[in-house]
Amino acid sequence: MAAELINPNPILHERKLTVRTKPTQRPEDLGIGGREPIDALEIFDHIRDINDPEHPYTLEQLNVVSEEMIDVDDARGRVSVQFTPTVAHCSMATLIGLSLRVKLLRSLPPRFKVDIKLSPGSHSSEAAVNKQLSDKERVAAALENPNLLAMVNKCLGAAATAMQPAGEAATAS
Amino acid sequence: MTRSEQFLPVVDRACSTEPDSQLSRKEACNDIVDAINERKLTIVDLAVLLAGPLTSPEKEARENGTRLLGEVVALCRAVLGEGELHTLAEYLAARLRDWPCVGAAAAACRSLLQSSGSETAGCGARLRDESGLLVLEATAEMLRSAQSFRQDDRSALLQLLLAITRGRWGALAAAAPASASASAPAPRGGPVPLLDAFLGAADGEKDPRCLMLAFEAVGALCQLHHSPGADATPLRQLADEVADWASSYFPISFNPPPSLARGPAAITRSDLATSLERCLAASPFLAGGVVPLLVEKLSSTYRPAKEDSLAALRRCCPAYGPDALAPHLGQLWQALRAEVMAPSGPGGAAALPAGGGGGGGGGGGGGSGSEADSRLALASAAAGCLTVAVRAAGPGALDAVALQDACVGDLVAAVRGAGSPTHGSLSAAAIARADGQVMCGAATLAAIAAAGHLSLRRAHTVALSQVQAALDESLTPPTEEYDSCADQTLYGMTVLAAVVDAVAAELRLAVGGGGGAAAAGDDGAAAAAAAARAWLAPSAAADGFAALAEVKASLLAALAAVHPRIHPDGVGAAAGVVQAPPSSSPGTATASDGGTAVAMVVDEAAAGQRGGCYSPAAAAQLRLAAVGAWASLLRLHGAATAAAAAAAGGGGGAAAAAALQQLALSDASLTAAAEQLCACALAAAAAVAAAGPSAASRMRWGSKADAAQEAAAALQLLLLQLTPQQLPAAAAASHGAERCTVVELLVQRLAAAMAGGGGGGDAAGLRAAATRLAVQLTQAAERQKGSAAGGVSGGEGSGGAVAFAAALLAALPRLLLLLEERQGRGADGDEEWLLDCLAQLATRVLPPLAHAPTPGPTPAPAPAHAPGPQSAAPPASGPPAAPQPPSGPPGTAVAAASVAAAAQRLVVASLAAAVEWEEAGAAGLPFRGEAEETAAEETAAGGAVGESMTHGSSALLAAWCAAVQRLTACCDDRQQLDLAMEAAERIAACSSRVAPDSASPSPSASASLPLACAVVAGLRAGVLAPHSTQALADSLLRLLAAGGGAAAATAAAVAVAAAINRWQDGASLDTWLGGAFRPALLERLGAGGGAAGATAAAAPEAAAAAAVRAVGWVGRALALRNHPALREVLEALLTCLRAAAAGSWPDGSSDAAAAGAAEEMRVDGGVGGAGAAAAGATRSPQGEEPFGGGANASAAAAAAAAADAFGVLVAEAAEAGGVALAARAPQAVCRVLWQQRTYSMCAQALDTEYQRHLQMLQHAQQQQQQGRGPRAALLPPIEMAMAVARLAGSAPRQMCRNDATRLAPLLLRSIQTLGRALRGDPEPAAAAAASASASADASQSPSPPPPLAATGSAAAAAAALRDALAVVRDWLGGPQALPSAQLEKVLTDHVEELVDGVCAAAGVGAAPPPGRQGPLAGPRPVLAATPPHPAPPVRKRPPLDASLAAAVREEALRCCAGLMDSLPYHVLHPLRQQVLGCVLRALDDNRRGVRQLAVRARRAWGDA
Repeated sequence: MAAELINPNPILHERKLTVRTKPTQRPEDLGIGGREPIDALEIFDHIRDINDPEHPYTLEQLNVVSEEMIDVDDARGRVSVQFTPTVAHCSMATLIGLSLRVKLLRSLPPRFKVDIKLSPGSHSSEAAVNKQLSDKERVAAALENPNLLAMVNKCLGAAATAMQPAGEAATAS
Repeated sequence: MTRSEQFLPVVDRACSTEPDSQLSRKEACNDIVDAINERKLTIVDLAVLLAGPLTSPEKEARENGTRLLGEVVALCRAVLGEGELHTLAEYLAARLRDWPCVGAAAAACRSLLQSSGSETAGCGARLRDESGLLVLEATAEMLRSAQSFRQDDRSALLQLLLAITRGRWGALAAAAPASASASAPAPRGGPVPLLDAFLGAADGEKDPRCLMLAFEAVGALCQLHHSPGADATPLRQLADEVADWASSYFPISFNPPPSLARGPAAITRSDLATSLERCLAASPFLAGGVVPLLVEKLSSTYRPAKEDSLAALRRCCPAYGPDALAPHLGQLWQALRAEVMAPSGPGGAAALPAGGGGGGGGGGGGGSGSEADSRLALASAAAGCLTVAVRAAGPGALDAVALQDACVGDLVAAVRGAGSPTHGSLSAAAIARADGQVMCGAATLAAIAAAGHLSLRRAHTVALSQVQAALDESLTPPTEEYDSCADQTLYGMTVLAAVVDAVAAELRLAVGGGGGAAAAGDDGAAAAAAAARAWLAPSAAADGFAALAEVKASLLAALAAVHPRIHPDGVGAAAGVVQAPPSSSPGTATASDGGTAVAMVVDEAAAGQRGGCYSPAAAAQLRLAAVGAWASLLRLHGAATAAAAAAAGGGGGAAAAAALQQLALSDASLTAAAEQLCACALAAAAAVAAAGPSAASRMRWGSKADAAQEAAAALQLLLLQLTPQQLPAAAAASHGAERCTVVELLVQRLAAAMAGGGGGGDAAGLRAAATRLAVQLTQAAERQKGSAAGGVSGGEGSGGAVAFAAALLAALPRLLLLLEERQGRGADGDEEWLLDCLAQLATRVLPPLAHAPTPGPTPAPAPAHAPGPQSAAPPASGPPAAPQPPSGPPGTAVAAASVAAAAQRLVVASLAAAVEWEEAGAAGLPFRGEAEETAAEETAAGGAVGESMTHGSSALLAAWCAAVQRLTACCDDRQQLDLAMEAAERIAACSSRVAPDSASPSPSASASLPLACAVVAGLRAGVLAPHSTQALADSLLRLLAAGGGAAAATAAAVAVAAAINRWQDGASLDTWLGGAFRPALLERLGAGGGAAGATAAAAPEAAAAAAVRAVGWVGRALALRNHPALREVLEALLTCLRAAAAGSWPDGSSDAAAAGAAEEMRVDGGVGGAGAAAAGATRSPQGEEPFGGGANASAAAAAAAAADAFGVLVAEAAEAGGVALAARAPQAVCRVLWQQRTYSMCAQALDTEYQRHLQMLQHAQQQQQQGRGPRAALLPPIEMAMAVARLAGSAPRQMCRNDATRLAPLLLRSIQTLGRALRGDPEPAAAAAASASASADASQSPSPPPPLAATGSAAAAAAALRDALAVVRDWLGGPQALPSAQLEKVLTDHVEELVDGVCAAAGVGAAPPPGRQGPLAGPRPVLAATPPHPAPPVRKRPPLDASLAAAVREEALRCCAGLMDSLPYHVLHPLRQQVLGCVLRALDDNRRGVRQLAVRARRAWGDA
């Protein structure tokens, strides 16, 4: 595996301490009917701990996803996530995108429509990857493939266990 | 020969080479040892018998033979003669040269050498030197070739080497040639070159176990060569080689393999690093090689290398000594300076504040924050190392080099430059650079100064005096613009405070190290403490301390000058306080010196008063600096006092003690410290409240620092140090007086702040801050206990805090009750603040005080005021808690007594105030006896406001009750008795007022009654005599029977329970129960809720519920005593449950068949309920009554109260209306196992009741011939479900776990019932299909009975459900603890109920999501803007409290996730769709916490 890494030496970023300090109790923060709306930070919490397919780091540590690149409209049920591969020729971009989509599929209510896109200009074949990621048929077909599903699950594996807001995981190695 | 030959088989067995003959080998070996010890066999015979194995060509046989010989030698050492020993030594030395046997032979040699070396007499013959030398030579020879051996052989050889170095053999080996030839002419002459041989063995060693031994061996060998009479030449020659060898391992990089990672033989990296450090520090000869290495590694970029080399330098420098260090001073200084100054360098932490100066970049600065922190930690470690190095290098060596360095000059220049006019025009980056320079320079200077007297003196001459001058200069600027000099002041204070702090730390180390080092067991700490003790040396002490005293005086002057400019409004007070005492402080020369300086500056301050003050930004920075400086000074004070005590105690150190006393703060300064810190804390807290979190602190590398917190910590320090420490009696009096002033001063300030409401948000923030600060200060004692290790004042330390608490309590009446100044101002935050204050008082301040030592049997020193209504008004002003002169008892006892007195006074005052408030018409907030306008406002504002007001005031009343109860608990016995009399009077008055005209008791207005009840509940057992208890109980009972306001009735219930619980005479209690309690309450309760409700027509539900609650509380009191009457109470409660179930029955279904079923139930109950004889008898009159709406509602309310009572019965700590009856010994009579007994009785009763219910249902079904809803039919009625849930939720978890088999069916079905009732859904699909026939019983349980919706009992049900789910979650266990087999079986059996109940609970109170479920049908912006789902019209339930409902859902989802972990999958699979459906709904919950848990649950269920 170490033979042909696509990006052998990625830049690492610390896990940020953007943790919600306390549940919003002020009335102006609550939406209709006392709802705490689903916001970008919540989406980010879902996807920040997804593992990179080729490095033992999370997507947050590699700065593939960030809170600023997420748009949510809770009322209309829309989420748009843009991600940035570490290198422009990353062949894992589709896999990362697929992992994001699957994770959000499993974490969000079914009424949500999820858009996963590369951030503009971040990839050499951006259009093709975006097309592939938003093609429902192809996503469904990919998830039928047991090998691919296993890879996706491997990426998602850590995301569920590493929910604790801790900074030490980032600096461990 | 024949005699020895009989041992041949044993010897053979002992030498067996079979792989698994370990045990028999051991036995045989023991046999041989016994034989030799009994002289049946000689060692020579054994050797002959061993001839076979020992000369065998097979190496295993030889090895085993040698090992056996070694073991025998080790165990029979005592019986061997000198000749035998010599022979053995010769032989074993030869064996040692036999490679396969080397390990075994080394072990044998070790036992041979060790026992002779350690003991001299009484243990056999002594091994001759020459024989020993034979072994030594063989060892040396084998060590040279040891590299090629196996690991265990190498380790055995190294152990042999260690054994040699420890005994007399080491001296022999290292003896100087001359003496060696003289005393013991060795065969080959000269010492044995062990060190050389060792280097051969250790070269290239990689095994961690061997390395540990090798590092130790270096230390031992070096010690050997340095011991007197030894020849140090070989070491000197080989020192470079040793250093080279050791340095190849530095820094240690080691990841323990799994075999070494755990267990007793585990080796960690830090173990290796520590022993390598010791090895490097072993000899001064090594300095030439090691110091350059460490210096080089210090400049590495690899962090562990830096850390390790700093740690090694700390250890090595003292070990090497001045001479060895001398050649390296230059490079050492350069390297350490670079490290200490690193944060201010390029790319250091100083770059940060420039970037994120505004404090806005929370996200940006977060990433590099930890990195900067680690840099700073490294820099401070380097500073500590510098101190050690300077000290080790001796006076005038390293410090001279350092003080001539440019960085010191730069520091002085920077401080001076900050005052120049150009400084203000610098850019932010330049200022940040200057900040960094000052901080690093201060750290360097402090590190140098802390090394010793001479260094301190020198530092003072070179730099500190200039800084002092600059600071003084900055305080008197030519113009009135203080801001221009603020930075100079800031810098000066920072530098001086750093120096003071560093010296204080060293002093404390010197004092505390002596006691603590032995306990710590770390030789490094002990060495550091020993070095630091140089501070306490009697000679030459005065010089350095005099310098420090100058620094101190200068700092004090600066603080006094700066303070009024930070807090312009507090100037007058500050000046007044500071000015008064100096004349009265006799003190030493420096103390008065400081005093004059203070006085001088105060004049200037007064002059500056008319002038300006600092700008807010500068003031914030200076405030932090001032707080830091005070903290440093206080630490110095503490350290100096302790050191002086130690010096005086040690004898002969009178001069040193006197010198140290200069450093302690005078009384005036302590007072000023309290004053200023208090002001700082309050101002900072108010600033935070007004303007959000504090800005970055410039002198902390831009980190966020909360001045309020730090000031509070400093004040705690101050309070802790106020205790008189082993002072002579004469001084104690003055000291005590001084403490009083400080404490009083603090209380006055805080009280003023707390009282000073009346304005906008600022004032409210200030009041809250003052409250918090006061609470923190009373807890100083707790803090001290936590960190008792470093403290000098030990157990005595709580004195200051307790004294403060007493004074605070004495000041509180004025604040809380507003008795003095009754200006009718409507402060907004009043209610909030009062609640906060009382809650803090009850939960945090008083409980520790109640445990403080009370004066005990000796009467309290004259309670100042006789308790009684006439003297109820608290002392007008002034400190009433003046402690008695501390004649006999130490300060703590006096303080405790004054706490008790103050507590009593507060209780009395609050009672009186309550009465007054009642008489005044009970308007406004409780006891704030003011405010017609509040009342008017309330009426004007209308219903909603009024309701919230009463809700708020009832919460306030509960808080008052809790506080009063805790206060009462703080009093001593006599005071309690007085209070009890007062309370009894009050209760009697109320009951007599209520009794005649029971038609209209004024329920809401009675505020004094709950307080009186709280007093009763706070009494200790044994205070009241039986007959007084009875009188009290009677009047309480009369009150209860008459019904009353909710708060009053609740409190009275608890009070009567408390009285019963503490009833001393068992017989009279029984009589009372039979004569009063039973007819008055129990039987009327048994007569049904309707009967109780009939008397109080106004609020039947409330009255019924109150009666039931009272019975429940009495039940708890009885349960705690293990009283048999508990059973009757239980029966009564069950009757209530039953009545409600029956009541809801005909209401739910209107057809006659159901009524018939109800009739049937009654018959069934009368016959079948075996234990319910009394209940059945009393129920009969009720049976014929038609259920009116009111009666029905009151029955339901009674049932809800009864269900709640089950929780009250078994809970560990039950509380109602602020009054609690805890199940702990001092507060209550408490028999062993009461909880178990009560729980099992309740569970049994409920189970029986449930079975009865089932039977009844079956009966009904048979009658109707159509009952087919098996699942629905099994559910218990909702009241019973609540009772079960409360019982299980309140009982200890362990008990529920043990009882799971019985409890599970009941509890799970109760959860189902509650979940469905609360959710209000018609039915989940499956259950609906099952009960499609819509029989009476199907409609009964799922549809919520009206009372549930009507009254507030929905909330009670939700809380019960939450508790029950918590029990289930405990059963399921976390991810680490799986349920036991028995539990798993129970849960598996009931998995359907479990899942159904959990799913029902997961939907409790869930609002519909914003979007429509399912796919979004195109863009519908218009529709989406309005709430798409109006509430369905079918549900008319009042909305449940949202957070409570969310808590229920969260708990349910946790259970969901836990299910998958703890139960086998095949059981759960059929239920998967159901669970996933409910989890999916929860994914779109309104609450974020619920959504997160839903994601987790979905993952658990979805991935399987």
